[in-house]
Amino acid sequence: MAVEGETGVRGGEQVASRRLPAAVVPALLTLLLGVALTSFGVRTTAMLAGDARSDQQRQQAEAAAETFFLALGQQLAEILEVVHGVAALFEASSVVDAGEFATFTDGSLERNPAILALEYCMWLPGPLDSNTPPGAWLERGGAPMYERGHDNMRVPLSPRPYHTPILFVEPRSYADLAGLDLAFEPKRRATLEAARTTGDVAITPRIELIQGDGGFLVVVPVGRRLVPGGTPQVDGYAIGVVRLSDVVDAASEDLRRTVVNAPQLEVEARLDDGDNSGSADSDDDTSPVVDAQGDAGITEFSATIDFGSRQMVATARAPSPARADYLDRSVVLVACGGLVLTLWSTIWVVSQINRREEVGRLVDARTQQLAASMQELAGREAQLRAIFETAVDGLLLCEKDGTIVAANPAARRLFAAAGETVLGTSLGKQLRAPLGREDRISLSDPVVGTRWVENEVILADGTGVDIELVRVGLPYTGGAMLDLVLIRDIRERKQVDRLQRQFIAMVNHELRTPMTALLGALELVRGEAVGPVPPAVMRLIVIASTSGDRLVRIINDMLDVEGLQAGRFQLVPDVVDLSDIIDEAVRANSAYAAGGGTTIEVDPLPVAHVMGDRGRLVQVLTNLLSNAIKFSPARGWVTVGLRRDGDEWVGSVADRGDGVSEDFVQRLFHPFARNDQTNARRVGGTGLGLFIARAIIEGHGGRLWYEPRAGGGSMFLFALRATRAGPDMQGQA
Amino acid sequence: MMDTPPLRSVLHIDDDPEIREVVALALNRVGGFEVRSAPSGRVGLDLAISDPPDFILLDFMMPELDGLSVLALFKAEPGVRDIPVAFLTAHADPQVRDRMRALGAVDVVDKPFRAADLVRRVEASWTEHQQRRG
Repeated sequence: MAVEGETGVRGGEQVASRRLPAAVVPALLTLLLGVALTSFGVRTTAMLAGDARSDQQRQQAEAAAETFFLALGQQLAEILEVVHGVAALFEASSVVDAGEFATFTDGSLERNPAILALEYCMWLPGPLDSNTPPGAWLERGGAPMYERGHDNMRVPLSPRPYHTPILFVEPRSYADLAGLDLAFEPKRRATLEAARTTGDVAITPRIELIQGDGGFLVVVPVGRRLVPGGTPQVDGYAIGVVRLSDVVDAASEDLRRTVVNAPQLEVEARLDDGDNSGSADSDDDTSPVVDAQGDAGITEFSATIDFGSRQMVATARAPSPARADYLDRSVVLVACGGLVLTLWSTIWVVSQINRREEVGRLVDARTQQLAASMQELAGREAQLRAIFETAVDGLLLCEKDGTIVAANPAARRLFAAAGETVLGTSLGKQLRAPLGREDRISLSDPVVGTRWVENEVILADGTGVDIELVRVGLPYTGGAMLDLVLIRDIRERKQVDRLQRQFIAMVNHELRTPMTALLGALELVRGEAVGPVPPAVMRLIVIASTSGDRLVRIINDMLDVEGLQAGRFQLVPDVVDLSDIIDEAVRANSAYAAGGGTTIEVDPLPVAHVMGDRGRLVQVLTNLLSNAIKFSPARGWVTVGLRRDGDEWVGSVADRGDGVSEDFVQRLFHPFARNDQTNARRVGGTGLGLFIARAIIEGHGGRLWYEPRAGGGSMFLFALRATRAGPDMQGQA
Repeated sequence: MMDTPPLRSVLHIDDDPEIREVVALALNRVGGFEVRSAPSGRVGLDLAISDPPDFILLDFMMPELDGLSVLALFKAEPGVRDIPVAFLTAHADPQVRDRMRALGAVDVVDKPFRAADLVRRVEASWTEHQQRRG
């Protein structure tokens, strides 16, 4: 998480941080540990193997090699000694027979090297002794001891191939030695000549032998010294054929015989070529391999063995033991464990990186979505903030205890003295109810609703203001609720309202006062309270009085309309009897009806109690009756009725006039509604009466409507809810 | 029902002299009452104290003291506080009418008026007042 935490701060390192998550670090450490363990195991195995070889096997190999080289040297020495013995034998007598032989040996056959040489060279049926008849050694059971080979060469037949065969070659028969290449091969002929010249033993370079193994010839000149100390006369040569494989075999046999658990040695022996090195024959000088093993030796020993004038260089290699024998199993387990750990770590790291990359792609996608959402939210917030900041009404955000947490400029203007200190204060401190009116306003815990409530309040600086207030609950984060308090400063509106009311009151007073004096005076004159009035004067007085009444009605209607539109139209309800109200209205209009010859016909009226403002209901009925009279033809009839319909009383006023046109019906109850198509101009009127009448009836919870009268004319009906409050009602109900 | 004593004298207070004259004529010639008129509340209070009338008709909108203030003065004066007072006003504000009745006015008669209607309202208010007292 620390990596992710840094991601948000270091924007530029986001990608790198995601591609190498913190979770990969332990995996990388595990990988390194696995590699280390594997390397340690392998290296330790190698070290242990080497150590084991050095410590345990090297000494054995050294001892075996030493023994082997010693035996090899002895074999070569014996060969030389045999050859020398044979040479001495032939030197003593060019023709060897049994008698000579016996003399030669002087009865000490076992210890005489020559006898030993013969034993090596000849296949004898048994040991030579003094009793052996002369020439017997040349015969073997009657079988020829020699087999004539090429020309005059006599080759002994030996059943023991590892024995060194010895030939005697007469010098006279050089040509007969062709089979051995002694006469014609330059190097071997040189060797032969050297032996003859020096009278000493000479050894040829390596030659191929008939039986397959490589070897060499030991050439010993045989002659008789005619003069003591003089150069011997070479009569012939004793030639020993030495097979290297035989020598090595003998040495190996000796090794195995003398050293217990001797390691098998891989042996390479070659003869020193001396001055003849570089000849064709010496190229193929590889000695036979004895008991060669598949594995190459890792420890090598060399020795140079002198025999005669030549040297034999032998190399022995101790083959390495099986690798598993040297490996410590625990180390192998460690190495394998390390390898497994390495593989697992690698796989895990790769999978983690892949997964991290996938997560990274998802994070990128989500980040883009989030950025888009945040941009959209920012736009919406900007809009809401703009609304909040520019709203004409004051907006306050309050906690449940009334603490103000936000205020827009309009609200701060209202609380101008407080300014920013509005925040954190309580709404109850900013807006207090006037003394004595605490029961009418409780701003510390105003009712939450959607209806504006008008209040007169005292601000924190003592200023009294008229405001409208509404408080709306807003869900907030975490399930909490805040209150949005909307405050509208209505001081200006109230001031205008007050001025308007003062104006209306003034107009009302200033019009009514002279009208009162005018109409009062006309009425007194008309009633002849101050004396008789001539008929002509009386007629003028009536005209003036009627016009005055009309003017007063217009004034009253206009004031009523103003009161309705300003919301100051108040009713004073009481239990009233509609029949009384109808009687009063009929009486009020009787003179007006009589003036036009109209008859007001009133059906029998039941006692009909309703809750109503008596004066206003009389006003309604008076208006309906005057309208009916106004629009009735001369000597017409106006009918007034009252009936019970369910829980309502329904009154009606009908005339027999022209009725109301269909299009005018839609505007009949609108203020200042006049039907110019009729005789309205003739009959006059402001067009306010029906508008006021319907407002009064609806203010009582009732209905007022128009219906065409059956048979012609108009009929206006009103319905008011009946009440049982009146004692007379009980009898009627 | 006990007999109601007849209404004999009415004091009318109004700042408008034409109204005072018409009202005096109407109440005297139609109602047969003895009528005295005063142009202001203070003069009317003095008249009422010196010779208490049976009934007082009071205008509302007057200079210096308005009708409500004059009514309060009447109600504070022991010798005249029980005299029934009705307003004769052109003021149509319902709230003002409520305050008139709350301060003890027995009736509120609108201007303009018919003489017969004025006499009838005054007599009705007088009778009702007497019955309430009786």
